[in-house]
Amino acid sequence: MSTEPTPVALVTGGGAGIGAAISRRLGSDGFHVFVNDLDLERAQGVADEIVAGGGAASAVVADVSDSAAVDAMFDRVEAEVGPVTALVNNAGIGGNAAIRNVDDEYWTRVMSVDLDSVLYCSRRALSVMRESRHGSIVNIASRAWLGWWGQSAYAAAKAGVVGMTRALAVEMASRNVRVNAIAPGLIDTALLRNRSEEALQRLLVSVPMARLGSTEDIAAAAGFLLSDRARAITGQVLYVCGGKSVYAYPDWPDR
Amino acid sequence: MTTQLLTWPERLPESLDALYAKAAEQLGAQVTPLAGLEEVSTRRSGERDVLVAVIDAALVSGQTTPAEVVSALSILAHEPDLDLVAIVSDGYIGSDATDVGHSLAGAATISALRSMAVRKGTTCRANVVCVPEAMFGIASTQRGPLAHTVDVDDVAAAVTFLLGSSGTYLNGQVLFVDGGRHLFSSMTA
Repeated sequence: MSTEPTPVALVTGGGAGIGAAISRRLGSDGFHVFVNDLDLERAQGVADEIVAGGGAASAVVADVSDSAAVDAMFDRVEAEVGPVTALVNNAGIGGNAAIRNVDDEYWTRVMSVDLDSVLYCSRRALSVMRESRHGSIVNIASRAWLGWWGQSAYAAAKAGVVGMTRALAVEMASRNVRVNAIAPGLIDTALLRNRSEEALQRLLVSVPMARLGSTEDIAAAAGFLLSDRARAITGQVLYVCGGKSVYAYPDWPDR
Repeated sequence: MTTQLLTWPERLPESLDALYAKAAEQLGAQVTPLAGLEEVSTRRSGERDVLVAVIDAALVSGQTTPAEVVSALSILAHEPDLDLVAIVSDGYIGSDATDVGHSLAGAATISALRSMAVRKGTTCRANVVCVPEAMFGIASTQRGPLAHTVDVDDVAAAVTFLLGSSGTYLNGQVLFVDGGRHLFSSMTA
């Protein structure tokens, strides 16, 4: 009896927020999910949840901005279960810094966590996918690359993610490997819940649907793009934003 | 009462022939064909209906003109509580095969749906699925980066994704179900 190889998903930054929701979703979609995080406890918590729900999952700690650590992580995944067939580059750091405060250290940190990590993980995953002619990548970008206050470093990194998504989509198409991106709008995570109700309402003015999205909304989009139902879709940057990306004229700050 | 999948036009090109039936099955909805988009308000069931309009199918079959598409879009703009997906060919991006008036209708559709997404965002969602013009017989081949030829199952899956429970925060977007063809245009970044 022949057995299908186990579909293996790796979700970077999977220990919380959007990454955790994507991990849970891929767990219920039948992937063995490797939940990556810097923090073992958080990653293990999500993996345990998936296993408790009848799925397969493991926690894997690695700093994805370190290419040697990424290689070691892929070595472990491949040895334990098999090559990654679905990669979600979700790990990232945000931040708000006016250009006068974007020093070399801040810039390097944002670029390495938000962009270098996408190179390290994609390069490694694609080295197998291109040979097996099977697999798919979803990168978590951001609508911030279109431009926003205090986001010069973050926008530059996410614009890099968008560019890499499109270039890799073209480069890998003949290998039957698809590469897409999701640009989340305002999503209900701890990051936003820390804001005051008034600040939140001001933010929601720029969202046509007048509400925050959920992490499950992003997970559903990732699940779709990574599935065979999206076999004709590659290079797409999908804004899951309630319409915010159509235009988002905000409350203008003082000029 | 079951959800209705309101559809327009009735006739689809062979490449998309089974689209309405497949999407309706996946959405658990019942197909209600419209003879024209102006029928939309009279055919509503009062439940949470959804609509799919295959703009280019109406144009290539001569059932409508680009000008009529524009007036039909303004009817949709005033229809409350209706999630909708318009399917357009990628000729609007710029094409050596698509007639200029025809590509104008595609661009107008996207523009109109983006405005609907903003103006009616609190009560309904409006999104676009963009497919290769070859699906409407406008060009002879799809010639996209992926070797896979886009078929009706791919389009039905995208429509279901956008209109179903997976797409509840998707609004005003263009989903390219095109094998990656859009990647070669600056208009799609």
